[in-house]
Amino acid sequence: MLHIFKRTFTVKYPYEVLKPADRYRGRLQLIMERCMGCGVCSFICPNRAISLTEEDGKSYPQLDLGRCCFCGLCVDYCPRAALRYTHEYEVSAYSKAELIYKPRRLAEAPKPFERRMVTVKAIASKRGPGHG
Amino acid sequence: MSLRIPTPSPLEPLIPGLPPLPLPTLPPPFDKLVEFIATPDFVKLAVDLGLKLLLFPGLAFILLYAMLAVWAERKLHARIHLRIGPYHVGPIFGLFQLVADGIKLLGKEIITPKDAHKLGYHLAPVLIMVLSMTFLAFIPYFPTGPDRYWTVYYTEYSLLVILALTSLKPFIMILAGWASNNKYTTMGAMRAAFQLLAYEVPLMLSAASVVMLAGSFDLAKIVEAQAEMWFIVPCFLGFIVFFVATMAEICRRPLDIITAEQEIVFGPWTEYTGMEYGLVMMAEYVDVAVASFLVTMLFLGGWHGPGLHPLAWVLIKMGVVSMFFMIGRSTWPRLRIDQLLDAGWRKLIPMSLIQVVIVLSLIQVLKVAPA
Amino acid sequence: MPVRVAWGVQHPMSGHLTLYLDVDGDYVLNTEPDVGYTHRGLEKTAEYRHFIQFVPVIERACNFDASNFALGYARAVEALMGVEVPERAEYLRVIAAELSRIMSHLYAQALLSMTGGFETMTVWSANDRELVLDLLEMLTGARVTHTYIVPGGVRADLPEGFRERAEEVLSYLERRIWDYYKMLFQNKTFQDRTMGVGVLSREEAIELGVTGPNLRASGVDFDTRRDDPYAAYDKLDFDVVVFKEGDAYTRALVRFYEIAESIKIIRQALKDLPEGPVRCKVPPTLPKGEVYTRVETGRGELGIYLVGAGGNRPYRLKISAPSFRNLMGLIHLCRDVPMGDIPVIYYSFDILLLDVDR
Repeated sequence: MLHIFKRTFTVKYPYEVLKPADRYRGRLQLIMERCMGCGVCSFICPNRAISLTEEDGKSYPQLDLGRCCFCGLCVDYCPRAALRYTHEYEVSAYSKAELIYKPRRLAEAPKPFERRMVTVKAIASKRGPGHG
Repeated sequence: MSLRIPTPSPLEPLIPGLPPLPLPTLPPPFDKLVEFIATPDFVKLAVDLGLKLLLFPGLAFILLYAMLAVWAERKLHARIHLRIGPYHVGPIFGLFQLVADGIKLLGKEIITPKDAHKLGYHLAPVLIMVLSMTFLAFIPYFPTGPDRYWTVYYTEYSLLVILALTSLKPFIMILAGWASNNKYTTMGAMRAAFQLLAYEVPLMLSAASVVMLAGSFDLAKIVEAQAEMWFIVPCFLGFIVFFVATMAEICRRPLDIITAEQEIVFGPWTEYTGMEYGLVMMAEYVDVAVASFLVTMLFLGGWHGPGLHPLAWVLIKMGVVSMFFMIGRSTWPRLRIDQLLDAGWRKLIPMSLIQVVIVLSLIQVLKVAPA
Repeated sequence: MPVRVAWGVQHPMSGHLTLYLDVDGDYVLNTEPDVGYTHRGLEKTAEYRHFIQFVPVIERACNFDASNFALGYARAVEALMGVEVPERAEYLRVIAAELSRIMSHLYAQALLSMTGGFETMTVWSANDRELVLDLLEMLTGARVTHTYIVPGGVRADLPEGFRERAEEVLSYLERRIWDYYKMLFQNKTFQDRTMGVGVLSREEAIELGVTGPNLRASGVDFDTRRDDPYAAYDKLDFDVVVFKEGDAYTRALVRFYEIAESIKIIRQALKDLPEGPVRCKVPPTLPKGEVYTRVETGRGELGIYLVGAGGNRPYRLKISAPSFRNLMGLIHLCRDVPMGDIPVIYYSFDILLLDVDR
C-alpha cells in the first residue's frame, strides 16, 4: 500500500528516453572510406539483409532494415571495421521501400536525441528506483 | 416531495390578467392530467424533478462522478504499481480520460453477433444502466427542511426497494449472456447468477441488523437515528459483511471472477463493442457510487457531521468509501468461483447472523434503539 | 454434457497456446493442446545457415531466456569441433546465462500473478526485470536477444562500470525479492489459488519427462548445472532448490529461490573472474560427427543434437525444448480440475509456446 509514496518507475517516453548503454546495437552506420566492398558482411548476415550495390563506381553494402535482426555479426566480421553501431532505434518508416538504406543514407551520422535522457538511479534508496 | 394528483378544479390562468387558455377536452382520465399540467404545481414538480434528474443525483452527477472515479482509480492503481496512470488528457494529468474513452467508444462500430437474439442483445446494456441509475432514485441524500429530503422518489421503504432491485441484476446478466449466442458467455452468465445470488443473503441480513437498530426501512430515518452514534460501532461485523457483499454484488475485484480473463474474456459482456460496452462500464461505476452511498447511509452516519453542509459530508464520506473499493481492487488477487461462493455461503452468512443476534440483544437488553 | 471450449490464442490470458478443453459444468474433463501457432521452422533453417549465422536464430527460439539457448548451441558446436573455450569466457558465459535466468524467472512470476488477477505483482516483477535488462544491455549490447555467446567464447569483454552497477542491481534485487515473498507467497488468496492445484507426484514427473523447476518442485533432485556441469559451474558453489509437494505453489517457489541462487552465482563469478582472452579461433567447417549436449535453461533442460557433415552448415539440428516436455505434464494435469485452475497450472509450468514449436 505504501507504494503510493515511492517513485514511479515509468519513463515518460516520448518526452524522455532511456539512455542506451555504450554497446547498444541500434541502426548500423557505414564508414565509406574504409569499406572495400569485400562482401563479408553480406555473406555473414543471417537474414540476407545486406546486399552489395554500386555507388560511385565502387560497391558498397545496402541494408534492408526490415530484415535486419540487429545481431552484430556484420560489425564483428568486417575486416576493416567499416560498419559500426549507432544508438538510433527510432527508425520506423511508413513503407517497406523506405526501409532499404542505400549506402549514402547508411553512412549518415546518427541524429542526436533532443529529448532528455534518463537513467535508472537511486536504486538503493528507500523510495525505490526511479529515473532521473 | 411526493407525487400527488390534485382534485379537479376550474382552470386557473397561469398568468393572472390573461384569459384562460383554450385547452382541448379529452375523455377521463386525461382531462385531469391536462388540468394538472396547466397548474403551477406541475411547473414546480417539473423544475424539481428536472433539477434532480439532470443535476444531482442525475446525469451530471453521474458523469462527473464517473470521470473522477475513473481517474482516481486508474491513478491509484498505477501508483501502487509504481506507474503513472493516464497522463495526457486533461488539465491535471489525465482528468478527462473518461471523456476521451467515451468519444472513442462512440466512434466504434456496434457489432451484433450472427444469430444473436437482437432485441435481448441490444436491450441488456441499456437495462443494466437503467437499473443502476434507478437505485439512485430512491436514496435520500440530504435534508432540505424538516421531514423533507432531496430524493427523486420518497418512500418509507426505500432500503427495501433498493435491496429488491438488486435481485434483478442476475436476470439482466443472463439475458446478455444468452442473447450473445456464445456458449462461453452463457456459462459466464450462469456463474454471474450464482455469485450474485449467493451474496444477496448476507447483504440483506447485514442490512436487516441496521434496520432493527433504526426501527424503519426508510433510509432517511436510518440516518436520523445515527445522530449520536454511527451504526458502524455496534454493527462493525455487519459493516464488514455489507462491504464485502456489495463488492460481490457489483462485481468488483477481488470478487470479479465472472468478468475476468480466465475462461472467457469478459463473462456475459464479451460480445459488446462500442457504446454498449461503454454503457456496461459506466454501469459498473454507477454501481460503485450507489454502493458507496448505501454504505455511508447505513453505517457511516449519512449527512451528520460538524460544520459543513450535509451534502458535503455525504460526498466526502462517499468518496472515502469509493477509495476503499478501489484500493481493494489493487491489493488482492482474485478468488476462484468456487472459493468465492464458498466464502459467501459459509463465511459471510454466519457472520451476519451473529451480527443480527448482537443487535437483537442490544435492543432488548440495553434498550438502545427506538423500538 | 461436455462442451468443447477453445481456450485459445484469441484470448487475453492464454499466451500463444490453444487448449481445447472439454468442459462439463465447471470441470474440465480432458485437454487437447493445439500447438503450432508460432512454428517457424528453426530446425530446418539451421540446415541453410552457416553455423555462426545460426546464433541469432536460436536465440529467437526463446525470447526470454536467450543466452541459455545460445549457450547450449555454442557448446554443441564446440563439442563437435573439439575446441576448448578460454577460462574467462566460461565465467562470462555463466554471468550472461544467470542474468538471463533471473530475467526468465521474474517474467514467469509476473505472468503467474497476472492469472490471479494480481496485476500489482506483475508490474513490480516487470519493473525489476527492467533493471536486469539494463544490465544485460550494458554487457551484451541488446536487451533481450543478446547474441553474446558464440561458438568459441563470448563476443566482448566486460565493459567498464559493469561490476559496480551489477553489485548495485544485485543487492537491490536481493532485498526486493523478500518484498515479493511477503506480498505474493504469503498472500492468503494467492495461496488458495495455487496450493494443492496441479499436483504432480514424483513418479509422474519422472515418467512424463517434465524438466527444470517443475521437476525440482516434485521432489526430484536433479539439476544439469550440478550433475552434468558445464561452463565453470563446477567451480562455483550453489544450492539446488528442491521441494516435495509438487503443486503450483511450490513450482513458483522453486523459481523464486532460484533467483536468489542466481544472484549468488553471479557474485561469485564476478569475483573469481580470471584474466585471459574471451574468444578463441574456431575452424570454419563442422567436422563429420554427431553430438548431444544439454544445458539448464530457466524453463528446464534443453538438449541440442547436432550432426555435422563436413561443410559449414549443420546437417541436422534438433532442439529438444524444455517447454515441449513440460507440455506433456500440463496435459496430464488438466484433467478433472475446475476451470479456474487451468491458467494457474499453465503458467506455473512456465510453458512458452516459442520453444514448443521452434
